[in-house]
Amino acid sequence: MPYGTACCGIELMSVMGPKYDLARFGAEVVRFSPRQADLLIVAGTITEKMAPILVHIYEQMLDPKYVISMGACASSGGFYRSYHVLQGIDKVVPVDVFVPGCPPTPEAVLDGIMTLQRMIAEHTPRPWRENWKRPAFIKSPL
Amino acid sequence: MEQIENLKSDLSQFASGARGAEALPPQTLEKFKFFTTPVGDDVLEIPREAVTALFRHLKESGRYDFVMDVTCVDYPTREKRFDVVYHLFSSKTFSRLRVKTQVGEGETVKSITGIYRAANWFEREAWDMFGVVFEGHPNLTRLLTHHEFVGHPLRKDYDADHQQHCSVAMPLHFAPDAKLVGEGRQLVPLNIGPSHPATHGTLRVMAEIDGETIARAGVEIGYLHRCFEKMAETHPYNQVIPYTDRLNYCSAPLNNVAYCKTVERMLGVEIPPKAQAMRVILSELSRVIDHIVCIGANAVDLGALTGFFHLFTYREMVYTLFEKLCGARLTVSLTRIGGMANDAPEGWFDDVLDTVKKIRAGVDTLDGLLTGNKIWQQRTQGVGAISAEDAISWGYTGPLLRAAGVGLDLRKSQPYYIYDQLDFKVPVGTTGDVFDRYLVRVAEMRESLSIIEQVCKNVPAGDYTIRDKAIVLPEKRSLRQHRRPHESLYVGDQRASSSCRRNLRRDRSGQWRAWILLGERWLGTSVSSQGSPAVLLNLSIVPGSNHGRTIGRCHRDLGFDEPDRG
Ligand code: SF4
Repeated sequence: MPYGTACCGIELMSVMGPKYDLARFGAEVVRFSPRQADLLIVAGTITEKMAPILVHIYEQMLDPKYVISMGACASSGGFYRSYHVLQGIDKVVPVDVFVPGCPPTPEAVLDGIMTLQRMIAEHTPRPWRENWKRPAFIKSPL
Repeated sequence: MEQIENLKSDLSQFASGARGAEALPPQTLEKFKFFTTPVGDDVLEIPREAVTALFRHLKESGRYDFVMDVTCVDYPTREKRFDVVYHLFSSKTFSRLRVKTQVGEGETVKSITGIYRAANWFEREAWDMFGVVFEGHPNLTRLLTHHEFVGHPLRKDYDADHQQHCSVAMPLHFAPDAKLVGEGRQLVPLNIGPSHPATHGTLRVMAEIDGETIARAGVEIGYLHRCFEKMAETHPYNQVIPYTDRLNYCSAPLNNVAYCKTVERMLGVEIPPKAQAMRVILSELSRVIDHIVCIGANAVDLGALTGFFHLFTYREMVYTLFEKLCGARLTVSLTRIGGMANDAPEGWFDDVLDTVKKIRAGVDTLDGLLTGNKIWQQRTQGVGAISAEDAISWGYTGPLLRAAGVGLDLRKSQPYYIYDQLDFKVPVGTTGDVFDRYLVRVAEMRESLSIIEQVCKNVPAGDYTIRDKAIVLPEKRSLRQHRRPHESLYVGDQRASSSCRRNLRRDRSGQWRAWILLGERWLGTSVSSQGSPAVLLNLSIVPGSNHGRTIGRCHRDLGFDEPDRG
């Protein structure tokens, strides 16, 4: 499930495009419904306004589920140290792989996905996921 | 200057002639201040009581049909703290006027939404950011920040990094409307976006539907409000350039150019011919790849996946050209104030020509794939049609405006750089529907490619940047001779060179603006010595335009509105 919001989202399109072709790495099918997805790629700046929606979408995904944070903004707020930008999505959802860059090159994103595949194959423990609770400042929409 | 004289006599006639509630008494007119800034911008300062009378007159007399922006500037130490600034434009004479009025804390100013429809979101934004109340606005609620936000972040006393969490997304809400329900009709609320393939994470549509048909809809933006203005305020001039990349990340160099051009205008510097040529080439390449994303991504939304794969091949080629210039693909920061960041490597212009040839063939293939395609036609024709008058009153710019039949192109109407020496046409549509928007974009890609060829075949020799040490850092290899830090744009608190400071002092407003044509809209960059740039919207029409449409059509329309804005 791609969660592209900004410039990184455009670079994510390149990853799926003809040149880098994500399909070659065993991850091709893009699903826009969280219920049909097992990997959430957050590509782009997540604002404070967006944070509750991101959590809501994450909660709607079925287990097993994974999160890749693509780019500086998603990972830490990037160079937007500003009043309306969430300073890293790991404040609200458990992240498995951080891909650095502003935006990361498509190669880096491919590497991130392969890292995750390796982690899954090796059953790497994921305490960030096991201990995750919805942050106290975010309410359930229901 | 001439415009100001003209306006003066016109207004005095109006003041002596008009009667009734909207009259402009001669005593008020005496308080008007007319002046022209050193760079030639016409400014009119008025008392806040005169706002509606003046704007109604300017609109109804046909002088200015566009409101390009309504924003504020905060002077915390002044008695009347805020300047409300209106930017007007005429699509007939291409003239512009800046109107300013002072508003104190706790005071209000009359809304001009009833006069210029496009002012609706601008005033909401100004209220959200500065807390200036626009009396009589139909819906003065937050536009960009979230609904739980407290305070007004663009005020000088709001800290740039003071974040406020949002606990829950704004619930769907509609005021009860007896006309819509009744007779057993039941409406179902439906939320579309912001995480939706057609809204690109930036926009949310709240709709109430009756079967497949949208009975009414509201729209919310601000999901990608990244505080560009506040970031620009807290960084030196050159460090703002990377932020401009990310305003419209589909065509970063265009944004670089718009911003640098504004600052250069403020400093009163002209960049060398080679830098101008390079900027034009980069701008046109960006326009092409911007249209590629627009058409490609929307073709996906409409079920034509091939178009996307096909077009991205060419986008990658342009990325390669950018990489050769600066090493980056998407967020390039290619310009610097005073020129370019570096010279083009040897053979780069030939590479560009080569790529242009390939893209031209690609556009032809695209044309063959989509234009005559029955499915494509049926899914786009008649969707989101808009008349030329409506497009102007909603403040449309760029391909959307031209698709509606208004042949307004800044490169023609107010040519900058070398555009007046180039041969190109301005494609216009007739109905403004999605199909026309698509056709205009395809035609514009072809024109842009021809512009690039013309420039590449005739690249002027010379330097790629000016060499004023107060503005541009000396090249690395000559640094040995310039060890001492000097007064420059890079050192100290954004100080400008002495000549430019003279200029600044002469200009009473301290406000500067330049315009260029972006990929999908105009970008007017305002730099004020106190800060407050603004980005224009093509989206404010969405709530009105969605009534009575099916959901699928709404998506198609949205895609071609290009809702990416950082
Ligand atoms: S990390 Fe950089 S490229 Fe990615 S969304 Fe943020 S600003 Fe844009």
